[in-house]
Amino acid sequence: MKSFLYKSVLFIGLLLIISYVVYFILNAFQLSYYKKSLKTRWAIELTDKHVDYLFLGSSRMANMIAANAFDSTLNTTSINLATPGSSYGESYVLLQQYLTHGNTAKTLILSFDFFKSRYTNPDEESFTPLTFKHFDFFPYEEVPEIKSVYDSYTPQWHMQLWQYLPFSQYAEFNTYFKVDSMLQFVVDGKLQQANFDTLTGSQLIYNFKFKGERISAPGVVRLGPRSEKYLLKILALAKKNNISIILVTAPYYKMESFDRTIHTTYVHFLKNTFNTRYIDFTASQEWQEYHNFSDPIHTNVYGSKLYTQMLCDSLRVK
Amino acid sequence: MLFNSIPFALFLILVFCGYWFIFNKNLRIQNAFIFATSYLFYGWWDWKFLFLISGSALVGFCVGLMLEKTEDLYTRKILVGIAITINILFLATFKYANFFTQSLEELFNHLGFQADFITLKLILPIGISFYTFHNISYIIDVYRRTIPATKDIIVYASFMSYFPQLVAGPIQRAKTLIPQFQKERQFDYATAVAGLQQILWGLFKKVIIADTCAVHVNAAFAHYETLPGSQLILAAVLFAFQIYGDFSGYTDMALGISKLFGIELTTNFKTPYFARSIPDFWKRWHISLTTWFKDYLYIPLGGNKRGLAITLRNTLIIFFVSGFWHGANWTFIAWGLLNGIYFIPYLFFKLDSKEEAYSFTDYVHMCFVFVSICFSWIFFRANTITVAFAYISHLFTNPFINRSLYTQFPWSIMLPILFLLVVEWAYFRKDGFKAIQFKYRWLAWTCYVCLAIFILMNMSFHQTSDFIYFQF
Repeated sequence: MKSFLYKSVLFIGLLLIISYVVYFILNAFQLSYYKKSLKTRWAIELTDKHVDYLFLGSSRMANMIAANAFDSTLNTTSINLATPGSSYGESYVLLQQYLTHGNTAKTLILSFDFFKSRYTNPDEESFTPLTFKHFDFFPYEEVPEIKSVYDSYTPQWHMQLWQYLPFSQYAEFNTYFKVDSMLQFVVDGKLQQANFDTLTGSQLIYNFKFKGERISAPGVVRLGPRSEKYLLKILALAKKNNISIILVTAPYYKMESFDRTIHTTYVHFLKNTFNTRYIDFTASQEWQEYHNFSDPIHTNVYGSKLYTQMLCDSLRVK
Repeated sequence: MLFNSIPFALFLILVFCGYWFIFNKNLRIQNAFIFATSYLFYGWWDWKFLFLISGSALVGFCVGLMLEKTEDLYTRKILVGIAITINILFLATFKYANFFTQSLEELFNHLGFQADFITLKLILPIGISFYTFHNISYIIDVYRRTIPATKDIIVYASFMSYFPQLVAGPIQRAKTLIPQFQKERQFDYATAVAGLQQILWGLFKKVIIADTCAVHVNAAFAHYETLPGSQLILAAVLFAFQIYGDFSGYTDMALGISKLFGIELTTNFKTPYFARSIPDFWKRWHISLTTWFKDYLYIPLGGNKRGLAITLRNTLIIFFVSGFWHGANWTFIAWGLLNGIYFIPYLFFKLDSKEEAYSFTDYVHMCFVFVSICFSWIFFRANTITVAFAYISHLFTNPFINRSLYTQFPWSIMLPILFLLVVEWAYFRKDGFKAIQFKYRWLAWTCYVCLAIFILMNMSFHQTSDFIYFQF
């Protein structure tokens, strides 16, 4: 038994030592390979940008805005920092870093999805599809504001595991380390290509397969204490920097009907507290044609152009 | 708690320490510890189903004792009939009730009647097919007086719920497992090391082979209408490796874990894709289930001793039941029957592989068997029988090759599959592998460490993937 335990410990020890070496290799790889192709990292690295409109939020906002059409219609400048799957915590980090790095904006257009209910149990938030993308922020995890968001979105033991066994960061997010792409990187020096416009952040979808076979379910994204905390922090930060705020509910393809009382009450609360304006693209079902959507909750390029135009029309009306 | 997860790794370390260092003074206490930890392991999924497994075990235990005491054949037959019926009822209710009602509903609607039966919202208790078969085999063995009934309920409950094999087998026989619970276990270094090696190899099969293949297979079965025929063939081949990696990987881990506790479980796989005939394949694939059906269904039905027609009938029954055992879906029944049909020529012409000789023809047969089995896996993998037939038709009607084939070819999985085949071949031919293991210890350690790192890198820690056979 002694020999067995001794050798088991030796084996685990060896694994640990090698894992540190592997960590350094993978870390070097991912920093070079992904560079600014991850939208979150691209957004954090922005400096000296001065725009009229800043878009922030989840994929629904990222996909909805056709930046060139928006800018040419309103004769303004804009940048879209919205990223797929982004929670309010992540959006807060992006806004906070954007402002810290000497960038400015006059108006913030923030994605504000429907929520059917509010809840108080923080654990329930783990069921929402919107997250904080841990892997994307690893190079910046020591930045105090980012670290505090990490703390909110990660159990303490998990943070310690990443800290003391850094290999676990990459073992956990191994989908970022495809053998094929690593080989191409080593052999041809081929980097990951960004799937968004690196000038404006525009992220249009060219997918026309959706035929309206599904409708969207409201209330998938619910407002819990953590989301609310960062939503309010975003709005407070914008207010502090004299940025006017517009909340936008991006279009859905035909939605199940539900009681909107809680949502509407909260919109009024935000209006009274932060002087926000609210634009709801689900108000009329008239424009909700399936050929404008890539799925029930995301617009395709046709829908993006249509809804961008409508947003411009709304913004012209003061 | 899946074998390929961090909570299970911690659970295993704690149980190992408790088993050998704290509860090792007394056999009964050690068995009770195994029983308690097995229930904890099972209850981790859903504690409510502990009542079901307890009820099933209690029925088996009590009927076993009654069978032991009763000499009257008629009473014994009644007892065994009741016990089997109860077990089958459990299984039928939880696993097949909705299948029967839905099939009947479809039949009635097809015939023009408007039928709307109530479907029960039942969750399938994990591992029910496996522990039900444990129970039934024990009752029949006691009835046949092949084994004595155990009088120790803890031993019996441990046999029924022993955690390494609880959720996906191998299906254990009382005559091999119960005696191991009844005698003192001594820690054996070589067995424990072999156990760890087997766990590592099982993890490789699951994490590297099965989970990687699954990505390509799932994509192919989701978009089979548009993919070229060559890609559909490739997906069918990859599914063969996925299911083998998944199930035999689980089995290897189960066997390896059990070895750490000094308990040997039945072997379930013997390099099945190197089989040279269909009967040979079934002697190598899911052996514990095949032998179970042979002993408790095929032989009682008359086996192969009552002429060709009866043999044929029995063979088809076995494959039909085997397919149905896998799941309440016509796809599994079709898969079972297709394998039964594959079997028929071997019955007619009494073809079977010889153990020793290896000629060019044997390799051709090996390829033929592999292709046949891959084809049958399409039914196993498809969600519905319509999808299975549509998939097969698209194999021939879609263009065979298109431009995307090269770019979408899963190159990264080819090397691990090749590695798997080389190691399995060495194991199959009983040379090489052992030499590497024992002659060059440094090389073995290097291999183990590299394999472990590779597995850790590919393990999805935040979203552990289920084993396919857990659904059965």
